[in-house]
Amino acid sequence: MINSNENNKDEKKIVLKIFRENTAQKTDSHYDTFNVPYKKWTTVLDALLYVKSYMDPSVAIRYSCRMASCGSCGMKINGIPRLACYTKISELETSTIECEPLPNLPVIRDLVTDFSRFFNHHKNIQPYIQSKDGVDDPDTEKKTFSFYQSPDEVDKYLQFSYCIKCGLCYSACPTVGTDLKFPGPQALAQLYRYYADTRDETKNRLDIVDDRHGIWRCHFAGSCSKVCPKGVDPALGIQLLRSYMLGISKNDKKLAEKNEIQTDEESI
Amino acid sequence: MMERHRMLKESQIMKIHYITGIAAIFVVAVHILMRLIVPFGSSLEYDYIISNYKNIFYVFILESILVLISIHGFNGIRIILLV
Ligand code: SF4
Ligand code: FES
Repeated sequence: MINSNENNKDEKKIVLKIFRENTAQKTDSHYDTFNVPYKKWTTVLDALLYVKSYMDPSVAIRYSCRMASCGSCGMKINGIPRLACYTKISELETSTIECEPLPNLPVIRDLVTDFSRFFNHHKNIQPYIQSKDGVDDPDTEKKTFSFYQSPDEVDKYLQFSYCIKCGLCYSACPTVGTDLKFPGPQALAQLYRYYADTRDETKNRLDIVDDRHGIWRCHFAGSCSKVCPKGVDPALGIQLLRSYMLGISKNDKKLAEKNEIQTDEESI
Repeated sequence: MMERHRMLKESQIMKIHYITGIAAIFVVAVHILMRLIVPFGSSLEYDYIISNYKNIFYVFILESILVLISIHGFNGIRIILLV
């Protein structure tokens, strides 16, 4: 955080232009401009919090971890969807920084957007490992299993499991911009993540997105992969899914061997 | 999300879409090549045109251009109108 009283030679000033809109009060949208001091390591989130603390406490932002883990501080910074806590002012190399809410998501207030639709798409793809055990038999449901996966098997989905659900890829996707029923790159990449996981036994997982507004509406713009702060390549996940659906790739997934674990509760 | 009671799954439609698109490029290329190897003047001669239409292989190519491009094109329009 920047100390407002600190008189440091390193300290420079940046013009921060912040998008303002209050949908509850139906106010017209406009931009407010602030002159904010910053240092080499100051992030856009730090600058926004400085504005909130010393200039205008009514600026609405959403954040939590400040370390690119929770995915809540996504916003459009100088025209590109980024995490505010992961974007240093110095690396933007401009004298003005424009902060706007993420596109493709409804604005709640200022820089805060509504993620309901995004999370609904995520839920639709059943983002969890499903095992036959525990579905039909209420007794096995209580059992705990360990799974064996080779490093190669883990590699197939590992990068996709780094997703923090920040919605940057979703907001950068031109197809989402024109078709809100399209699941978006995040949900599709997560579908691949579970499809490729050898612990998952879900039948017909691919059918979930095999519809008119589903995976086939991706035009491979690739902007999702460009903006992802966690190095996930959703565009790759989508193309891999398509190759399975077209029969170009064969799903030779061998289900992971599992062993029942004796939990402490059972051994007592 | 999941749609039932449809004749074809979207993946099957898209398979047809890609196959007709690639096949259309191929037959159009053959058609253009056949036009290029015959000088323009003689390509317009009555006898030459009649002989073209008696050549089953060539007729098949011409018709398949129409069929392939129609399937591919109409599905393309459907996709555009879906949004
Ligand atoms: S894939 Fe990347 S950009 Fe998309 S939600 Fe996950 S972490 Fe964010
Ligand atoms: S505050 Fe958690 S990702 Fe930025």
